[in-house]
Amino acid sequence: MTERAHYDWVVIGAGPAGQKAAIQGAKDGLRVLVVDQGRAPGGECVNRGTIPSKTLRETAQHYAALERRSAGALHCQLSPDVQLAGLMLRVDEVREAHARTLSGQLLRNGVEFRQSRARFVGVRELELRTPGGAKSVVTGDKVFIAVGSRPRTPDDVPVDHELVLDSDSILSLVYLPHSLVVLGAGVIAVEFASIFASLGVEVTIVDRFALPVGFMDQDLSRGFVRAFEARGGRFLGSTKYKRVQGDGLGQVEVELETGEVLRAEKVLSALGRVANLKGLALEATGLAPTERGHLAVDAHGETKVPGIYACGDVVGPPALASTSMEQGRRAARHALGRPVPDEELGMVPCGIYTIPELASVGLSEAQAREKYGAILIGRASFHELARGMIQGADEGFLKLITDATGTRILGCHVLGDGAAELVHLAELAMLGALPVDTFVDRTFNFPTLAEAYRVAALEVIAQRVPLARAA
Amino acid sequence: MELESSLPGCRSTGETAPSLTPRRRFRPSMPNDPIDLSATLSERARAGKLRLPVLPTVAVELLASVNDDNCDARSLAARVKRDPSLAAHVLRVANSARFAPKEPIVSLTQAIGRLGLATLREIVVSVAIKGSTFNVKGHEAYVEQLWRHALLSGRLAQEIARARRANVEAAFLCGLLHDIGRPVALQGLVDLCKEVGVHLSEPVMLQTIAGLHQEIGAVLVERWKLPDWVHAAVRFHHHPDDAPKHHDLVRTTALADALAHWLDEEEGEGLPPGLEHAAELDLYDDDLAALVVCSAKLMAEAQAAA
Repeated sequence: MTERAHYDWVVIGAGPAGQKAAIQGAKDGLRVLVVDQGRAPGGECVNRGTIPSKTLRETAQHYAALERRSAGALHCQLSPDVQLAGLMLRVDEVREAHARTLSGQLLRNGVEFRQSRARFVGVRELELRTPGGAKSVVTGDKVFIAVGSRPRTPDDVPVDHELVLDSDSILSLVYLPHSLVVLGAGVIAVEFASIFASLGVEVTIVDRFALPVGFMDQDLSRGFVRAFEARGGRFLGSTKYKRVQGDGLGQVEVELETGEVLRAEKVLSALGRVANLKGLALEATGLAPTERGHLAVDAHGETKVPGIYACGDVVGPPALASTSMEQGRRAARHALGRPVPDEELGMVPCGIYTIPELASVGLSEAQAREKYGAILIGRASFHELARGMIQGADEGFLKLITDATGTRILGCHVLGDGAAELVHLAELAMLGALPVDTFVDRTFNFPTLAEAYRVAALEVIAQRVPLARAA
Repeated sequence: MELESSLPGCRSTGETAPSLTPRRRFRPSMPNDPIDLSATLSERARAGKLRLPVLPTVAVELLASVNDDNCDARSLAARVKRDPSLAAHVLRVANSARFAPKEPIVSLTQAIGRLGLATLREIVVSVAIKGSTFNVKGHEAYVEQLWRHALLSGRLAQEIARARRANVEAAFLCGLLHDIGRPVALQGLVDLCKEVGVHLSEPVMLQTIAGLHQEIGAVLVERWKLPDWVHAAVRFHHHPDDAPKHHDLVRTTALADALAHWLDEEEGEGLPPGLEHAAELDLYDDDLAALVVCSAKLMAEAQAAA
């Protein structure tokens, strides 16, 4: 007879979104079950995505910085037979430690974890199947769908995880390839492209759009291309591939619509991700994916079926671990009837771990102009700052966007080492409705890159006077 | 395990065992003591005194040249052409079920074009290892069975890695080499038995090999300076939890090993084994079912290549 059990909440997926939702519920004394097809919590973030790629990035960043900061005194060259695993020496430790921490958090909060695949057999009723095939049925008063996403594989890209890889398999490469073509220029594509370029691999990015990471401020996208090409990379924007095929001699050919044929040792297909909805049997709930294959939710993460929430990659962009955690937490608080913070979720910062980093909060220049018409912009280049000079951070900059009076901050965009950390200052200033002048009136540690805020703020303030005179 | 060959029966020659090491001497009263023989082999392996096969130059070059731009199809073809038996083997594989050519492939250039550099490297390394290691006089049928198992395990490991959206390069080598200690241990036992003048029964010999193969295999791959993940797969494929790192690769090898035995010896009857490894690899019963579906093809390939 099939085992049956009832829980207050059933959370499908133990990635950042599911885990945060589960803990919120458990902290409120609810009986929560987390089901994940993986053997440990963490999801793609821990096992294939954020943690492993950032571990490799850490090595690549140090490697790239060594030459730059020594002003050419040191010339580094990786041994041709260096193994990729050797460049991610701590990845197993980091991954296991992180997974242990996550498991510990669930355990401490009394959340039950099961390794199973789940499929709906009723509105809030799920059939679970272990890897060995044992089945059970669970029901929940509330169900959270946080099943994450996986790389999209278009029919015309023959991903075989040998010559043509996706973002899951690229990190299990044995050796660093000599050359790599990256299809796509989204977050994952540019992160891997810049990491491999920094490690000395000949990298070409091919994308149908003119600029990479199109949702970011265009100055960041352009700044990324400059930095990427300075490291030997090649960015082919507004370019479509026509054919991807092994040449039979150990290389892959990528034929472009322009007629050019790129030859590389490996190809990384990074053409977006698809939500892991296959196998969930959503039809049993009355839900259906959107045209783009995501789940539609309201501002609180609730689907059109009361009591069924969705959060994380499964609801679509921006599909960042940070956003997913917040979506999970907020959905849970709404399900508990607890107050949810007022600020829009769009205010969450976005950090892209390229080399150098890109980070944004608030509106881009284009969005601000569209919404407010006139705006003021202040810029600071890192090479004007003492800390920037010390670090040799020539390519870094900070861009502050304010309203037309030069007072209210609408957005902030940073490129350079530490950008993902630096942008939090602007986020807090925006949340606290602090005027731009705060960055001039307050004292910052010296020398730091945070001084860029003062420089950019001064540039905005300087534009107020002519505006006032003109008025 | 059913053997196609008959190993020498167990009988004492009555000869006095010569001294093996300064500290160890076989006692004539226990000529067939497998524990003693096993301990001696193990000690020899650890002390670097076991006769280990030398990896052929061509294999060393290929393993070292995975990322070498100079090792292109032309230079590989030139190396293959220098070795007629290797060239013949490449042609045989090119015409096998795995590649199913519409027209028979008759030239090496045509074969290289069809197989691709990566596969060609795989074949060359496999052939080289077979020639050097899977070659014990008097035990041809058993060694042939070991070789078929190695090839099948390599291909299964590749497919397991592919199913997990993991890179397949390392998986093949781990699958291919995981039991490399068996033929080496067999050769060592044969030599040792000759030295001390005893014969072991087939079951005893197999049991001794089973007990030693991980340790001896690990010594061998270390001697060959193969990467640490190969070492981990060879050393820990029967106890993946004991591996200090590369757990996924070791478990992939363990699952491939279990499935290969099941396919070859049980003809895929009953439930597939290795479910404990499958769960650790986040593979479900339907993933295994998909592997089993393609296993007939893999078996045919392994038989064709053996």
